[in-house]
Amino acid sequence: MKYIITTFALIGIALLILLGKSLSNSDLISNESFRVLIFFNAFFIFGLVILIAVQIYKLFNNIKKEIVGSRLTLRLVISFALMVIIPVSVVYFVSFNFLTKSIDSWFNVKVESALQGGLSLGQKTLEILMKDIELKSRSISYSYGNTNKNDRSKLLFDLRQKFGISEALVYDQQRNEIIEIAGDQFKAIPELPSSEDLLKAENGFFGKIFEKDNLIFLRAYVPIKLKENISNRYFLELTQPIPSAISNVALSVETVFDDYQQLAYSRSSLKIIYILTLTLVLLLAILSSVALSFVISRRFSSPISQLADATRYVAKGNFKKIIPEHGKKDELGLLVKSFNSMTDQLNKAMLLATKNRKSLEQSKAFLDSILTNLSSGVIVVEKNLEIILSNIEAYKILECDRDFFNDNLNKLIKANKEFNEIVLFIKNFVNSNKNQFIEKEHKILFNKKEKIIRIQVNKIKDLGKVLFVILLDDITEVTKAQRHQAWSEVARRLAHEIKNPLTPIQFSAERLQMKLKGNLSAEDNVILNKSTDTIVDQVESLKVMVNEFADYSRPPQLKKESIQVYDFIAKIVDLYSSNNIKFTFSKFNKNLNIDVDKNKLRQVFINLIENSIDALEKIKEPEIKIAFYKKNNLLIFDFIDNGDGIPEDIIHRIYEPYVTSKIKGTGLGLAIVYKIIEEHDGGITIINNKPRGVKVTFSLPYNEE
Amino acid sequence: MTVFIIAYLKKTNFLKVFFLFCFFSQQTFAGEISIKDISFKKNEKKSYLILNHDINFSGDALLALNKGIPMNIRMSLQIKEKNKFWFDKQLFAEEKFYQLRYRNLLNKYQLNFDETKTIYFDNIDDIRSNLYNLEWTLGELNLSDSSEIYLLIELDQSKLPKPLFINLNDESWDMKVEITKFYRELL
Repeated sequence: MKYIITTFALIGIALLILLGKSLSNSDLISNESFRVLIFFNAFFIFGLVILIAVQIYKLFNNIKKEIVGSRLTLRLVISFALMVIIPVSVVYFVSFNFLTKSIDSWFNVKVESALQGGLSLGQKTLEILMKDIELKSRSISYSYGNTNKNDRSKLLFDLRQKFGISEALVYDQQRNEIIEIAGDQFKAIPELPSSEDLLKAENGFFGKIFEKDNLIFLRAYVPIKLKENISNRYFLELTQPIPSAISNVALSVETVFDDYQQLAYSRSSLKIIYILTLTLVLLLAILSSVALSFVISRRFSSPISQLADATRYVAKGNFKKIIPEHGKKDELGLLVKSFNSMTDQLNKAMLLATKNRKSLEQSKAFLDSILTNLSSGVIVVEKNLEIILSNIEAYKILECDRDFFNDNLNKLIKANKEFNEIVLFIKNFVNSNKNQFIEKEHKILFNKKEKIIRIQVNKIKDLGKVLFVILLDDITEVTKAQRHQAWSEVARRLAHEIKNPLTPIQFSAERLQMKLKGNLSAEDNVILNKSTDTIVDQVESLKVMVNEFADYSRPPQLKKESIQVYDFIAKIVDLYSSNNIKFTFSKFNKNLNIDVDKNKLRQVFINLIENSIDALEKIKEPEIKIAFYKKNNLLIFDFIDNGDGIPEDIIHRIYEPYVTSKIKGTGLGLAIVYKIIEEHDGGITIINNKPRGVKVTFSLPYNEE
Repeated sequence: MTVFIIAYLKKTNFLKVFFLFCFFSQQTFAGEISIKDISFKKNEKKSYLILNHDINFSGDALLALNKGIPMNIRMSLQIKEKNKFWFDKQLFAEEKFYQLRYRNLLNKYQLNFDETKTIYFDNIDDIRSNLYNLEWTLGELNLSDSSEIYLLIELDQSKLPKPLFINLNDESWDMKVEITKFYRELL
């Protein structure tokens, strides 16, 4: 746009010069071109007005859009425009007045009278000279007519010289020829007098004035009456140039008078043309200046606008904004340079801060990652128990919403009263001002499920601030595993220590019976048989118990093979068909196969059925429902009876050895089931079914292939 | 400021000048030029076009003439051979000028033909009588029925004084006559 404005301004200046020159120099531009120039100027002014209007519109649009620097540009434009318009307007009005007055002053009465007087003087001079030549011509004509024919030529010559006549000739109208000629300036045959001139001369005299080669000539025609020939018509023609000094002056006066008359006639037009030109010049000057003021204003405001714009960026935190310096050495250039230096330093500082922040974030993320992946729960609290850091495991262990961990540990007491003991433990340590750490295991019954949580509280100082790091470990499963381990060890030792003497005891009792059978009285024999039978039965019972212990304690050695689940379970169920129990299958797919140790899975089902049979002993319509189905990558088994269920106080420990609700039994059945399922990487839950009975659900890994 | 400007304008007769301009630009009649007749004559091998026209100055033009402003008349003659399917062939083209002027010193009207021949007259009507039988020498030109003659006679406004020329209302000062006729129409 600035190039357009500059071009416009340059054209305007060119037009101005052309217009000015055209007025002062007529040869430069013809009348036609001058009119075109006037119209072109007017058109150009119109173009300039549109250009300026567009610029103003754009400027106001920019102001509306709050583009930085637009207001400053507007102010500068107004200032520049006023700087031009006010003085130029004053000059215009003064010039206008001066011009009209000046033009009027050209045409005053005195000048006109003087010129008229000069012209009249010239005219009078010519009249006098004409009178003079008239007298001379009449005298020559008279003398010529009354002289002898032979002397006439000489007389004409003499009189011409005497009167100072330039040319003289005698014309015979009848013969239409020149009969006498006298003069010193004839270079060619003179023209014949025109009939109109001669007609006018018939009355006695006709004179005419003409200009030739910037000289004024007087020509006189008079008729000649020859004494010997009155009938023929002869005319004398005398031609006399007036003196060149008089002629030049008279012609000059006439030229000036003509010019004056022309100017006087064009007076109004002259005023209009000068005023029009002046107005055009003024408009061109003002509009070109205003158009240029846009360019200049933008040039001035550009660095300041850029500075303001860059300041906005800096305020928004963008320090990469660099303002082009353009090598300016003025104050603005210095300011721009300083600004760039400042933003550069800020940018470097911000980059360093960002780097540090990223490093901190990475550290925090690393810490978070560690905390998230820790199997222990971690809570960091201040002295007032405000939680400042925690991990996901902590609220899993304490079975709370994560929201609590953004607040105060005291809220845990209100939310879960089961954890009161833990919170109080922590609170006591925090308030105790002890420097060492403490550790304790807490057994909590939460949702009828026993949980063993180990708590360790450490006191640390971070930047002079006292913080307490609480480590929480859910050791329920560990404790359970330890218990199983211990029971397995006990069972193994028992099996080993008890099983060995049982066979000799049994053999000895049988041998004793056999040896003494015929040697004793009938009464003693009955006692013997009864005693030995008791020993053998008890030994058998002990063997069964020892075998169960042995099964529980043996190391996991799985021999997996593919079985068809339905057939497998159906065969086991067939073993108990003699019992008065209704077995119902549901949600099953007969074609499902699974890789398991089939002997161990059989033991699982036998143990579960045996337990249910015991529980259904007194039930009128005993029923066992068995279902199996796929879910994700697991095969789920549901085993439900309609017995009396398991007492609530032992259900959370029902997998432990010797935990049983039955009067008879070792209490190892479910413990063995639990162990087998665990060995198969499965899971098991036992709950009381509603409205009655027990629901055992266990899952085994299932691979589609 | 506005009051000052209006007062200033009133004082400086700006409005008067403006109205004068409007009035001046609306002057309607300055004179007319008319062609009376065009004829041809043939002398031995040469052809001639004889033109009779009349010029009548009045109003502004007569006033301007009497103030000593010279009036230049331009006459343009073009003869073309019309072709139906091709460009016209130009057979002849010539311009003639004459100037009318009032000589204040001599108190006479001056008629200049092509700046060679000068004739003086006592009044303007005498000039009109001298505009008869203006001759155009066409040379050995053979005119046919399809020859088209274009003749323009006009007041050459561009040679008027510049201030007058700028303010001329085209219509009022447009002293101009032009005809386009075929040769057969003029016979």
